[in-house]
Amino acid sequence: MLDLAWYSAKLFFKGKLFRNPGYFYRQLTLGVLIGSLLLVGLGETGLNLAFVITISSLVTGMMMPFLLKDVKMK
Amino acid sequence: MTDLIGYVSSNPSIQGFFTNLMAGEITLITGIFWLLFAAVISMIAGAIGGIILAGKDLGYELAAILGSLFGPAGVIPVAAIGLVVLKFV
Repeated sequence: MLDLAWYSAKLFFKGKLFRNPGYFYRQLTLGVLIGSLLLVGLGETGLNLAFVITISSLVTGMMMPFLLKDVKMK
Repeated sequence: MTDLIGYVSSNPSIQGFFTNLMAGEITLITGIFWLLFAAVISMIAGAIGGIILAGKDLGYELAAILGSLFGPAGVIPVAAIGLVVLKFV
């Protein structure tokens, strides 16, 4: 599993992992935007920081595969 | 072992770290801690999301591995941006 992650990361930084990088970056930006709004919004309510970070990471992390489901690997 | 515990509990910078951690104060050290924490949570969450999305088509293990690659890709920028915004706004 670590081999796969390492190999994908190498391909990614060479720019050869995705067949449609524009789609990937657009969806990634959308996900980051939603996640940041969630984190900052929860944070500004004054809840405990551990709770805020756990919730926003969980939600954003579960959202990413759905956002990136049409990404094409080479 | 007791020496180690004594050292850790009497070291002011480590005490400060835990105080900041509990109080939700964002400093460089607690920021790095929260970033790592968010990365671990997002790998778990990404694996769950991947299994929900494609567990039946890809097989549960492959879906979980792909999901746990996609999760941190989104969450690490979120945590970095969010912590900086929370610190300065």
